[in-house]
Amino acid sequence: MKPFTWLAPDTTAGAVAMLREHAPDARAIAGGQSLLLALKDRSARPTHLVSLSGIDELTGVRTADDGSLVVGAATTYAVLARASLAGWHGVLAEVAGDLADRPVRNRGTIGGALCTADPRYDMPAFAIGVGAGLRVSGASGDRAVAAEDFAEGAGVTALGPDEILTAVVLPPLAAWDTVAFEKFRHRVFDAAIVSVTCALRQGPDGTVAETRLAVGGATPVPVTAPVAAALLAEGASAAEVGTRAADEVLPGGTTGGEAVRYRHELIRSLVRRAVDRALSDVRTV
Amino acid sequence: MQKVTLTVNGREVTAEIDERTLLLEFVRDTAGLTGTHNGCMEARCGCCAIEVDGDVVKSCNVLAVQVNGAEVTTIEGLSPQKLGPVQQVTTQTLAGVYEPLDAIRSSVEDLHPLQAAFHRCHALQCGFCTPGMVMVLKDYLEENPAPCRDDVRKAIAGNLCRCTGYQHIVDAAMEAAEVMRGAGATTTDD
Amino acid sequence: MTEAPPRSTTGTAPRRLVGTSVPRKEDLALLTGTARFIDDIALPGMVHAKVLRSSLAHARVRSVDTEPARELPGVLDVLAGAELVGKVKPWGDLMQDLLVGDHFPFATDKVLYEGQELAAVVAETAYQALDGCEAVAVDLEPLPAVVDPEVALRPDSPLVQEGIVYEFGDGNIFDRYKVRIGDFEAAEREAAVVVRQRFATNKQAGAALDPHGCVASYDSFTGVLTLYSSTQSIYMVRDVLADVLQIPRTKVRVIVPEVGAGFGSKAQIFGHEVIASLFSMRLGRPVKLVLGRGEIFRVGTTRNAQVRYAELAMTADGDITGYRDYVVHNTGAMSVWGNQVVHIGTNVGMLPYPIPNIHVDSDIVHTTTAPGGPLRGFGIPQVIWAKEQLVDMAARELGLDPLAVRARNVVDPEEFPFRTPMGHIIDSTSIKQCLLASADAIGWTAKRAAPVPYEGLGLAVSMKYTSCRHPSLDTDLSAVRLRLETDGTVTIYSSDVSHGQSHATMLSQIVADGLGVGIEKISLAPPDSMTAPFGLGTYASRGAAVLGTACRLATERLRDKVLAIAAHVLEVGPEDLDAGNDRVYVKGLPDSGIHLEIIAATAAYRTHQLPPGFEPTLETVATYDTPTEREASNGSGNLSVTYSGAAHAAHVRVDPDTGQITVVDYAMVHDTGTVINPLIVEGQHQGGFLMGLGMALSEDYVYDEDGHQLNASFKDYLAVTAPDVPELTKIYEIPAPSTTIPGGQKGAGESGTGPVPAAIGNAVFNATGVRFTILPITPQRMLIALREKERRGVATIRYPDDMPDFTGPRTPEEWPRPTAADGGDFDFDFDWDAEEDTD
Repeated sequence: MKPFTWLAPDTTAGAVAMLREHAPDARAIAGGQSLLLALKDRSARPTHLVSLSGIDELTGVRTADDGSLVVGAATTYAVLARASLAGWHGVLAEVAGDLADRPVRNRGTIGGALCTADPRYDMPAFAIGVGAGLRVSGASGDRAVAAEDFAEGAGVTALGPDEILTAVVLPPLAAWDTVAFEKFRHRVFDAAIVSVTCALRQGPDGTVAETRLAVGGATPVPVTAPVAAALLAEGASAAEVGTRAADEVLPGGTTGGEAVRYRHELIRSLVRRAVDRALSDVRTV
Repeated sequence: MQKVTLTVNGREVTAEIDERTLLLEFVRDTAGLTGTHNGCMEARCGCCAIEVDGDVVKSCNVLAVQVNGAEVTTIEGLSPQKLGPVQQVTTQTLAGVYEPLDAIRSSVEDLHPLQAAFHRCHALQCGFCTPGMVMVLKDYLEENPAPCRDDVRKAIAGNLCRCTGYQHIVDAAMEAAEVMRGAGATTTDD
Repeated sequence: MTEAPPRSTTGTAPRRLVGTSVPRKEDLALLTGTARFIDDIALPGMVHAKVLRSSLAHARVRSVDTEPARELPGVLDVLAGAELVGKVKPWGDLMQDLLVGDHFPFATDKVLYEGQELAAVVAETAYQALDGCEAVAVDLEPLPAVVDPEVALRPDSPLVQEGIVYEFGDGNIFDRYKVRIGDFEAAEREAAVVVRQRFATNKQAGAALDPHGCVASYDSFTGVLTLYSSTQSIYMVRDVLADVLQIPRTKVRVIVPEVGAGFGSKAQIFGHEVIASLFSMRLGRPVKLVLGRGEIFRVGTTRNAQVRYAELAMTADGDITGYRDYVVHNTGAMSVWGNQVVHIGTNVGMLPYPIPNIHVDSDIVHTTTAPGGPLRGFGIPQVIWAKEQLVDMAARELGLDPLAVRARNVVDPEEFPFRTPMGHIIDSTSIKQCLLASADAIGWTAKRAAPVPYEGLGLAVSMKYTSCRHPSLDTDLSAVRLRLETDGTVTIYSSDVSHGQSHATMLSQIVADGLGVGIEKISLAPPDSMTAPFGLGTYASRGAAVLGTACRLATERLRDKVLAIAAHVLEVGPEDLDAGNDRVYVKGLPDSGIHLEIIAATAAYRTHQLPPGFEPTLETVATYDTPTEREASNGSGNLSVTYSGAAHAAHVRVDPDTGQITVVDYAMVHDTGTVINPLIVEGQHQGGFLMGLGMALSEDYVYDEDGHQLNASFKDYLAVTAPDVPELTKIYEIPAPSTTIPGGQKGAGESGTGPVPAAIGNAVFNATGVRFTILPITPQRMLIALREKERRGVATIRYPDDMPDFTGPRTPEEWPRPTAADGGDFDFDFDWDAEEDTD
């Protein structure tokens, strides 16, 4: 670690001002579970660390008037995992409770995961999969960014040097009837090799009206597979959707190197599982 | 430099520290408690796990300044060195030389139930991972008093052990859970 | 998964402690955080050193400029290689039988592997030392790396070691090993089937959680260098360090704190121990140098990866009549133990079959990868991985049951001792019973008769040496000194470092039984070369049998002295006396007699009351050197004093969607001879299994073509975690006590590792029809192999090296090119950006 100055503001505005003052070498830190690893191996060398953990407005989960779920960016996985959330919002708690390990979940935050933009982390993929929106505060004002526009590459986000991610907003429960999340990783505490989120809404007649598929781990940023998702409304089987999604996310994935072919296979399998589970969820509701 | 105060195992420790000081380093070097171990500095092996305000964390991946003012419990806090009234203490009991084995086995009042169970079940060999294992299991069992064996395995998924094959550790956790339930831990909710 | 059966409890206050699960004496300090490991050592005035390591695997060192580092605040001293040439003696000569060692504290003219030491900085704080390392200006000229040991064999391969002359070597081959027993070609002619396959094994890390590290403290007035080190062997470190520094052995004192395991990876001296010593001698201050996890991965020793072109001949009845192998043994850029691994591993790895015709050639090669060395199993798991799969392959070709074939072949003589054609002297074994019991425990017959899709069973058997006489180190000894203190307590001194093996408990059980002293009165002194008797250290599963025997002998000698005093005082013959309950008494009168503390005090403080001519004080020492043989020129010999047995049966399930392999059930039946402490031995077997499981399914060093290790962290190195391990409750002992070791013990530490990869490999074949020829069997490899099998429309496939029709040539050059799978071993190797380009 290289020396840095520690700053602990108690408002978002204060944090933004500090980031602006010390840009571009200031970094925001929430739980620090990813950033500290980079600091320790000296791959990140900020001159100032702006702590977000003392800012009350950045933590906690609440339901907004329109029914959307507003999750403070500095909310830890452990808090999310313990939250009792209605309907498919509860999948957020399940995902948060089944990643990394117990001590890391006590420190790591949902916003930290999004800002780290590791292609294999669950939270960015899940946020894209359910069509979440992100709230950003910066020196030039507040703005909203769709989750799928936030990560711009492995480790690269749309966040400006003087901006802070303040909240992740899941759409109201009515947006989806069910959400299924599937992933495969080597060990329990490893990041996913591939993760799949399948969000599904039925029409009044009980057929599939809208499906959203997102795949994490296989590409530099998690991506959606709209073509494959659309097949479901046309009556395709889960297996067919899986095969299409694999080709859509990793074109040429059957002829690439072993690592590519493996991801291609995993997308097929996990999409099939996620779609199967989502369909059986809506049919039993 | 930054002034940081932590209450470590009930003792207030204040120091002017380099901002870079990790919680692990504060506990080991500033508070002088070396039972918390540095095995990887990558937040992976779990040997450095301690409790901060009741939640277990990997102390190699937390800055001391991040938790300024917190209550910290380390492995040393689970079984404080015996400091009895002088008239009750002989040099022999202090050194533990003449303690019969059965007394060591059943001294639940001296050891945390997890420590006692680890001893009974031979859940440690080299012992380097043990403090972290115990701290994570303590945090887990306090929240989940009646787990199954697979739950316990998942709870310690972030703690590596290269000696035991984990079998006896899971045995010990199950035994300790039973003792902790009896000792008035919150009732099971699953 | 099912609940574990209830733990059997030990009886109360057993009269004899050997054979009972006495709770460990070691535990309390470790459980409460008071135990001191190397990083917990802090001496007054101590300063901190860090090492600058090469980021290139193979490079010419143009220059290392340490001057910029010297300018930095807090920096006290900087060292690099050039200034030490001619002042510090290279090491590695003794263990490898070399004239000149190939190890030096720093790379001087050439870097041979990533992570090799280039310079080191000592400063007031660790951060300042790291800043100093960053400031050292290094100019390296990259050279082509050689990662693949078979590429290293080629004449046009980059040469790794340039300056060392090897007796048997040539190019990158630094040693060769041959076995010529019987006539393999005759066996081949007469065999009903000869199965052949190329098998590759992985480079596994010990990854002990307690880092390698040391604190060196030099006193310039007495000239004594004290080294606290996290090592498995104090005398190997002391003797080599004294030789390297060219100072007398008496001026080097090695003290070992608690050691958080080693598994073989701390069984030698390392560069950091020399560097810290040099700094302390130059500064006159204590210097701490503890390695980080990435450094340990790169410079700590690893399991030697091998390529085996193995062949097994079997008669129609299922008799194994011949084994032939050409082994390419990758020992990394340098290794003090590496060549021994292939000698001993191959010799002992032929067991448990008394194969009459054996023909092995091995080239032991250098590559620009991390140093190879000993690791739990010492070459045995690699051989067993090949040989036990060949047994299944041959049985399948002949339509025989793998269990029946093994039962027919395992060593099961009518009389002991029995000498195998390879030269092993089997003094006792229950390996056949172990085999049958393991198959029974897994439900072999019923489950094989009713196969479940994607589930399978596999067997593997091995025998493991109990310590060893190494080909280039003609010794196999341990020693114990015992002192009955003047209050009747006992101190045990030994230089064999306990680092998880429970020496304090195990030795105390032996002493308690022999001397009749309560186990709570016995202590094991910390290993210290100033006080401990000379011994080789703790490795090779030697604790219970070799150190334990030394302890037994010392105890008998001490008992004789104690009885002599008691006989004199009680005016009876020593043969009429017995010891127990902390006293010596006339046989049959255990409540009478003299307390040990009286006898001990007499021996020290009332010497006129001693028998005439009795040498006062009660202290004995015993050294036990095993009655083993040196390796013969044909590769044969009884290198080990006795052999423990292990029969394992695995039940696996494969997920055809993800390739994930789950070990759903596992049975381990062992012959560990007389077991001193059953609970401790059970723990050793479970730990041995863990290492084997990692070797089988997940652990490996992954290099890119430039020799950079891509997974030098616990994030990417897939060490086994708790959810990966099945419930290990089917662990049974069928003891066949050694008749050579006086107490009957056999080595426990490593026998749990040997069969694991092969048992799982055989089970995976049974589950999927895929015969893996490479380790580890990752989910990725599993799934890709399944798809390849489907694509070809075949029932079985060997993967990735599919060469089922190969029958002919005999020499290495004539082996076919394997159809190896393409790269991309692990997912962290996955390059997202590269994939984007293919879109």
